Order: sequence, then structure tokens, then C-alpha cells
Amino acid sequence: MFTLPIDTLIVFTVTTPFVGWIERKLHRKIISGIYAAVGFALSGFMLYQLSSQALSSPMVVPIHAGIFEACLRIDALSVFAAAIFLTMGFLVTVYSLKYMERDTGLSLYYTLLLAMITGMLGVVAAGDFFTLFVFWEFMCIPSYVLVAFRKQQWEPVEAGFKYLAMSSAGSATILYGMSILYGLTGTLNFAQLSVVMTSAAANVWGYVSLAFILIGFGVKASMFPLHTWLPDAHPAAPSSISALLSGIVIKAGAYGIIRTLFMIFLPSRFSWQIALAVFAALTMTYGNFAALLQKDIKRLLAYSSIAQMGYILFAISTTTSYGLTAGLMHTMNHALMKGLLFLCAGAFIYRAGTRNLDELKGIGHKMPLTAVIFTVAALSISGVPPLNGFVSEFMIVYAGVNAGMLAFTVVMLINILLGFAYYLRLIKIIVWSTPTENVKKVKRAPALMLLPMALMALSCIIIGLYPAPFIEMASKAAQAVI
Amino acid sequence: MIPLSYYLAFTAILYIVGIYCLATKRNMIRLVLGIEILVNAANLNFIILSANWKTGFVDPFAHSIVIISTALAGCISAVALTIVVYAYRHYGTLDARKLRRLRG
Amino acid sequence: MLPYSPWLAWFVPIIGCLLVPILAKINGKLRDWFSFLFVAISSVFTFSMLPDVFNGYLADVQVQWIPYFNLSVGVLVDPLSVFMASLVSFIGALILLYSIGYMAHEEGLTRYYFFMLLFIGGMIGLIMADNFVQLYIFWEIVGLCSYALIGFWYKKPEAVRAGMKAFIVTRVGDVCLLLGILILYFNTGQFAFSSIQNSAGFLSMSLLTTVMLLLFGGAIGKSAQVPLFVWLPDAMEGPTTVSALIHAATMVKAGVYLVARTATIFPSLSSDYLLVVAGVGAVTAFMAATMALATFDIKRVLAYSTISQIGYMMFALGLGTSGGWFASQFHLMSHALFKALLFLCAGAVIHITGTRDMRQMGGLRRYMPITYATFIIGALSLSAVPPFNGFWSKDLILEECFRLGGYTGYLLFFAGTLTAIITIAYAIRAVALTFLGHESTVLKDKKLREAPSVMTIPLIILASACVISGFLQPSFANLMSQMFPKIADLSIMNIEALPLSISLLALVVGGLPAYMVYVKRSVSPEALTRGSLSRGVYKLLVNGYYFDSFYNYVFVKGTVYISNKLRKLQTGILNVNMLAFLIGFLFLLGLLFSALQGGI
Repeated sequence: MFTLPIDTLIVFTVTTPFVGWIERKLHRKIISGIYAAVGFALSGFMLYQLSSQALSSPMVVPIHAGIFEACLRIDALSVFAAAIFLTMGFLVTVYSLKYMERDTGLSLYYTLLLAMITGMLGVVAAGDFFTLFVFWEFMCIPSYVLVAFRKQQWEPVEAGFKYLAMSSAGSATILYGMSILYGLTGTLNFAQLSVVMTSAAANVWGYVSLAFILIGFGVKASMFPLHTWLPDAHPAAPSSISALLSGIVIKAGAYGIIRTLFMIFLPSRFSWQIALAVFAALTMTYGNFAALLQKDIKRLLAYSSIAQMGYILFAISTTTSYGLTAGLMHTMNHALMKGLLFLCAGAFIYRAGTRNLDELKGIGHKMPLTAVIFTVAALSISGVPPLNGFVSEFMIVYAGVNAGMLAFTVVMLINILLGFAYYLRLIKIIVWSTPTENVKKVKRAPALMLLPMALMALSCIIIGLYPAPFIEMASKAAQAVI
Repeated sequence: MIPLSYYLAFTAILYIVGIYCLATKRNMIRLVLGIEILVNAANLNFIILSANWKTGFVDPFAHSIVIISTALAGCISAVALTIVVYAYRHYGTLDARKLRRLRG
Repeated sequence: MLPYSPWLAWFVPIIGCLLVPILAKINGKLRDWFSFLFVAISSVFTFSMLPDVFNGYLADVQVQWIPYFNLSVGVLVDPLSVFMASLVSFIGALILLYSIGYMAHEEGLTRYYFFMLLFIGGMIGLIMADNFVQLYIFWEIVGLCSYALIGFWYKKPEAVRAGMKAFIVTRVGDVCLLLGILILYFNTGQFAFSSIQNSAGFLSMSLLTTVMLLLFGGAIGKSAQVPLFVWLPDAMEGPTTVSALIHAATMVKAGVYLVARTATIFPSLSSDYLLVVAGVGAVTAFMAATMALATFDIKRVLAYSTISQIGYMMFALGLGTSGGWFASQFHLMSHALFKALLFLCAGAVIHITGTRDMRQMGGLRRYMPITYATFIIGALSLSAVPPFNGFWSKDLILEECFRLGGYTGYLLFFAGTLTAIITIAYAIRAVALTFLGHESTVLKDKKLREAPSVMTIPLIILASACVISGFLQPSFANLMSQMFPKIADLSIMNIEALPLSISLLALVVGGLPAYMVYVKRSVSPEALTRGSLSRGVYKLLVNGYYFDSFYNYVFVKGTVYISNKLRKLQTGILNVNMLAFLIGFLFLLGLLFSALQGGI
């Protein structure tokens, strides 16, 4: 039907509720989780087998459905993004085995998680716009439900509703932009679109559809005025889902932007560079300023995600190969770092039962390994060498200098300083304070939660010390699009 | 013949109506309907532009897109209305302006 | 030279830091002594490179790291790097030996030794680096260790805050440094020092000035010059060994090292850049010396003194002559020795008396004779009294200013002499308040005795080094003459009479009033601040020329204000969010259309 990785995940998605039925008979909550993890691992294996072929030249898989000509187009960028998504999905599933044990309806949770990641894989593998849109909705709808998963509390419901409203408005905007593109060219296939849109003269309608599509994907990618769902949705979701939301779902928005802006609205024809750079600068500045004084740890991390997306958008706006490679590297690194930060926050919440930073003071003393991992992630995202955040922030700043956008680069450097300030504040509260009464009775984080966290922290350090192969992969992914 | 621009203006106005609805209405169900209006504006745009190629010829590609898109809009509405039901249970009202506990 | 010593010099301490947690699990004392051993081994490696470098050995070895950026990890063996590496490892080893006794009863020592070893490894890695990115990476690592060590006693909120302040203020400088490095890379395609040196001729003067000023920005942050000096006095919240190692002898010298290194890379330095360096150095030297005169915390006096002396090194580099370059390196060596000595003596005093406030000390010379004697040697070196090393090096700097002549040279000479007057004043004040006179009432209940020998031995070693190192100048000049040939002509025997006599006169002009006020107590210190003008000056000095308040008001309060205002944008009402969506859409359309029309 589709390619093997997506097919595997679809099979697992559909069968997980049945596994959930079996699990209810056996009274073991963990089975559907392990089943989901196996699904991710299998899909990852299929992707690996696919990758050697797809990395060299784009692999086009036609989807025959009567006259409806759709196709999947798997190139280096798709493989790169899919690898990140599957890895994060697998690690978060292992983490959820322990984290979500106090919730009910877990088989549905894993089903939704599998569905969400299936959708994401489809998004990056899509070869024409409509396939992308179908898989986009396939990704979004489970994410709405996952944000509102703990429906017995008011917060996820409120956050879920606002998220749904804004994100659906965004999807509808993408659809409208697609319709204009269809009206201009008669096709929705990426390859054909890029040929047609570059050969024709740039006209107003092209720019209009560009605006619609950019806004539509920008809602998901948390661009400045469209980001307002994020500070509510990311804290309200269970921490494992927050890690996925901040780590990969918003990156799907960035992927959409990259794919459309570089393949359809080529920079040589359409001058969107400064517009995107302005939005990126606004996004990063707003995100960093708003995160400074937050009292809720997950809300602080959510605002930080907005700022980091600003960095990625800035890297994209340089329209050079350097910039795109830097943006893709930062996508991968941020998924790791922010995912790890959210997982650590989840560990703190699991043990201490609160998200409030005033009550979490000094919890690092009671959970030493988590504290070390948290510090590694926080230092990494602030850009301290020799961790991976430094590598990608260095590359983005260089891309800015290379593209001659010096004013924006200076804005980015000031933002790095700001981001650094509140991460130091976080480290101070978690690690360098004396434990409060609330915290004195917490135990260490469970091993099943520590395992994926430790793996991610280790990869942060390894990518920081030896980034060459990852930069190569990101560079290949960038070359596939430019 | 009605020129194309009138139809396109119509869908543009429909889109603006959708945004207006989302930006102004208080009732949560009206907000869900606003999302529906947005999606239907895009669907209508597809249909209009599918008839634009040659007189008498309608591109079935756009129509198949619209059908799938309508189905997806239905899924979104289902999920949205479920969340509205839970919001009503928590807040006791359908007024979206009362959903203000998360801010700053 | 022992095999692989340029690599092992910084690798060994880093491996050591990774082993510290494991060793700590076995035995605490084992960890302490092993840390000292690792640094001692590292200093063996660095010292083994000295003979080779003396004989003209130069090497630049590279290992490929990131091919995408043409970036390699490498080590540069030349007189400047080996000299500084030896200095760092020697003082590091001594201070770790001292720590074994000084920190013996503290908790969290695993963290302490981990970061100390990481720091020493990072510092030597910074010095031995042969390309800008490696230098920057170790620069940041060293900043990280400084932050962790300043906030070592995290139970004290002032310590944690001081650590954060240090990291953030130095990071401002680091950001300038990063921008400079990247602009340089963009224009030359190279990160490595030697390659840039080869292609430096193709850079335009304005570009060169911009890049070098940005690099100097990094140096200002790390070396605590005006206007980024505010972190160093607060950094005294950390343990005294940390202050001695990081904030006196090594990390703050990294900025001086950077400026010296860029002077060797870029053969022709733009005069605008030199003017800025000299100006910043001179202003800092004077301002910091005056601030040292007004503070009562013994470690803060030494911190301000460090800032002032580094100002001397900076304006020596700002002269732009090879003689000035050599004089700054010579003063770097002297300062590292006597400042480490002064800090370790202060540490002994704090260890025994339990206080840092000099008003609560006094009369300690009866109880701590060795500390007293070594502190006096350090203070005399600081004040540039012959025949100690400070005299030779500071006099050389002033002589170079005089020799340069012209507007700049004489102005700098005047500034340097003025600062020297104040330097001896605060040095005598510190000695007098701490050791002379009678004990204060606070001390009467404490058991006052000499510090343990594991602490006094490094003091004696350093004091002897202070006495001897001044006379090592000819061999030092020989070593450095490979960097700039004209250095070989300098000699301490070629002292010109006029600058020398003015320096000695300055000593008397500064020393005599200080002696009268603080030693003989013929005029009471309080009487000096009675007039309204002097009270105003005193307030200015105590508040650090209001730099701290300015930064607090503009940056801290300003950022908090903007943050609170921006948070109001998140109203929580869905309708407002969609309105923002619409506004964003229209804004984007506006930007795109203006790009379509005429291009932005």
C-alpha cells in the first residue's frame, strides 16, 4: 500500500486496541505499551532498510487509487525526519510504560501515539500535497485527543479545545492555500509543482497561496502571532506527550514549511526570505522573554520551544544550504534536548506531584541521576560546549553570518543570552537549592523512566563531541531539497 | 457567464467569515462551526477551480480531494464536539470566554 | 619533550575529572590526592615542552573533526602557549595541594575536584588550541567550571547568584567573541591560527578592526575589564582556592592570552583597535585600583586588584609594540605568582579567623608569622617595590609606554603611574588592617594560630618564586624573542632613568600617606571621608562607580519589565488568539507584498 515503515505502523495502530482488550483480560497494564514499542522498533528497522536506497536519490512510490494519482516521495530529508520521529516515539513509549501507569485507558493512549507518529511519517514521506494534507490530519487529530487525554481534569480539556480550534484553523488555511495552488497549476504533485511554479513568472496569486500555506504550517510550527495554543497545550498534556509535541510535532510544521518553501516557492523566484526572518526574530524574542519568569516548569519549557522554533525558522530563512543544514541539525538536537527536558520534568512531576517551581525547589538532591541528566539537557539547550546544542546554535549563527543577515544574527545572539539566563535559573531552582518540605519525601526516578532519559542525555553528549556524521546526514537532507 | 473572480471572491469572503466566527463568537459550538466554515471555504475553492480549466470540463481530481477533505472535517468536528462536551462538564457553560484559567 | 605532551597536557586532567566520581566512591582522601597527582602529571608534560620550545621548536598538529566546516582539533606548540600552559599547570598543582588541606572539612568535594580538574584541563586546552573554534569551546567550558565552582557553597544564595552573574556577564563577552570568529571564518574560510595568519593580508582594515574589536569583547568579558568587570568581585563568594586559581591566576588571564595571540596572528594591528585596547586597559586599571581602596572584604580588595593589574597587561598590549607585548606577558607571569600567593594567604587568614571582613581582623602578625611574611612579599610585589618581580614587570610596562612616546605613550604612562600610586596605597591598607595593630573584639574569642603546613608550604614556594622570577627576565625574553625578534634586545639592565625615578617617586607618593593613615594611625581613616566631596567620592567607590546598579536597573529590571508586558499577550481567550492569527496573516501578506513590489 504505502511504504513498509508506514504500513508497519498502520498495522500496529489498528491492532493495538485489540491488544488492549487482551491486556484488560490479563490485568497487566504494560502489554500494549510493549506492543507499541515493538511497533516503533520494527518500523525503524524497515526505515533503515529503506534508507540506503532513499538517501542517494528520491524514491517515488505511487499510490494507485483509480484516477487519483498520489505518490510518496522519500528522499534524504524524509529519511532524516522519519528517523528522528521514530526514535523519539520509541523512547517516549518506553518512558510511558512507567509514567502513564496511573492512568486508565492506556491501550487507547498507545493507539493514539502510534497513529500520531504514523501521520508524521506520512507527512514527511508525502510526494504530493494532498497526501501530505491527509497524513497531516492523521497526525493532528490524535494529537488533539492526546493533549486532552486526562479529560477528568479541566486543564487538558481547556488546552485541548484551544489547541484544536487553532490547529484546525491552520489546517483549513493550508487547504485553502493548496486550492489556490491547484487553481494556478492544475496539479498537486511536488515535483510537477516545483517545475511549474519556477518556470512561470511570479504573480500575486503565487504569493497569496504562499501566505496561506506559510500561516497554516506556521500555526503548527508556533510562529509568533500563531503560537498561542502552545503555552497551554504543552503543559496540559501528559509529560511524555509534551516531549513529543515539543520535540517532533512542531517540527512537522517546520518540515511542511521547508518542503513547500524550497520545492514549490523557490527562493530564487519568490522573495519570502526577509518576511520569514522577521517572523523568526519575533518568535524567538517573544518566546525567550515570556519564558523568563514562569512559575510552571512545563510552561517555561513550552515558551522555550517557541523560541527554539524561532531559531529553526531563522535558519530556514537564510535560504542557503548552510542554513538549511543548520536548521535540520537543530531540529534533531532540539527534539533530543527538549524531549529530554520534558521527560525530566515528567519524572519530577511523577514523584513530587506538582509542576510549580516554587514547590520543586531542590528536588535535584533527592533525584540525583535525574538532576544530572536535567543539567546536561539544560546546558545543552543553552549552547554550552561540548554538547549538541552548541553545535547547532553555532551552525545557525554561522549560517546567518554567511547569508549576510547580520542584524538578525545579532538578535539571535541576544536571544541565546536570554535563553541561557532562564535555563540557569531552572538549574538553580532544581539543583542548587535546598529541598523544600514538599520535596523531602520524593524517591528517585524509576529505572524504566531513567533508561530512555539516560540514552538521550548520552546522545546529547556524543553528538556534541562527535557531530560530523550527523552534520553529514543533515547536509544530505538539505541537499535533497535545495 | 459569471467571471471566475466573483466565485473566488465568494470563497475568500467565506474564509473571512470563518475567521470572523472564530474570532468573535462565544459559544463553543459556534466556534466548531467556524472551523467547519473554514474547511468548506477551501473545499468550495477547489470545486470552483476545478471547473476553470476548459469550458464544459471538470477536473475530477479536485472533487476527490473535496470528498476526502469533507470526511476529515467530519473527524475534526467529532473530536471537537467531544472536547466541548467535556468542557461543558468541567466549566458548566458553553462560553469560550470562560475558558480563561490558563494565561500568562 | 615527552611524547604526545601537547595533547596529554590537557587530556590528562580531563580524564582525571571523569575518574573523580569513581575514585570518590572508593575513598575521599584518594580522590583528593589523585586530583593533585593528575595536575602534577599534566605539569610534567607542560614543563617537558619548555626546553624544546626554548630551542626554537614549533609545531601545529591537527586531527580532523568536522569536515563540513574544515574544522580540526589541534595543538599549537610555540613559546606563548607553552609558557602559559606551564604557568597554569604549575599554579594549578600548587593550589590543588593547598586545597587538600583547605577544603578538608567541606562536603561535596567530589563536585569540587571534578570541576577543578575539568577547569585545569579546559584552560590548558584553551591555551594549546590551534584554531578559534577549539579556543571558543574551551573558553565556554572554563566559564562553566567557573560558574559551578563559584556557586560551590550552593546553600548560600549569594554564592549561587554570584555564579549565575559570572556566567551571564562573561557570556555577553563570549557572544561577541563568537560573532568575531564567525565573521573571520566567513571572510577567510579558515579557523586555524596559522592559516589565518597566512591569509590575513587580504583582509581590509575596517573588517580587521571589526573582527578584532569583537574578539576583544570576549576578552573584556573573561578578563573582567570595564564594562564587564562586575562579576569578579562577586565571584569571591566561592572558596578561596577557586578565587586563587580561576579568578587570579588563570581564567581571567585567558582574555590577555587571546589578545596576545591575535597580536601574533595579525601582523599589522589597526590603530583604532589598539587605541580601544589601551583605553579600556588604562581606564580599568585606574578605576579598579580606586575601588580596591574603599572595600573592606579582603578578597574583594584582591579581586579589584586583579582587575586593575590585568588592565595594566591590556594597555601594555595596546601599545602595539613587541616590547609592550613582552612586558604584558612578563607581568602576566609575575601577577599570576603574587596574586595566587596573596589569595592563598587570604585563604589562610579566612580559615583561621572565620571572617572576610578586614574590620574584624588586626594584629594577626603575632599569631600567623609565616602568612604575614608571605603576604607582605606578595603585597610588595603587587606594589612594584624592588627587587620583587612586580617591580621588574610593571616597570617594564611603564618604560615601554615612555619609550613609545607620543600622545598615547605618555598618557598611558601617566595613567599607569597614577594607578601605581593607588596600588601601593591599598596594598599597605590591606596589610595594615589585617595584620598590624591590635586584634579586634571579634577575634578575641577565637583560637588564633598559624595555618597548617600543607597550606603554608605552597605559600613559601610562591613567595620564593615572587622573589626569583623577576630576575628570570633575560631567559624569558630569549624564549619570547622567537615570537617577536626585537624582544631579545630588552633587558632589565637597560633601565632608563626618568621612568624609573618617576615610578619610585610614585611609590613614595602613594605609600607615605597610606603609611601615615593605616600604619601609624596619625590620621584616622574616618577623618578622610568627612568632607562632602570625599564622602561623595567614597560612595562612588563603594558602589563600584554604580556599574552594578546601572546593569541591575537597565538589564535586570528592564528585562523583567518587558517579560511581564509580553506575557500579557497570552490572554487565554480563544477569540483573542484567533484575532492574533488574523493580524499575523495580514502582517505576513504585507511583508510579502512589499517584497513583491520593491524588495525589502
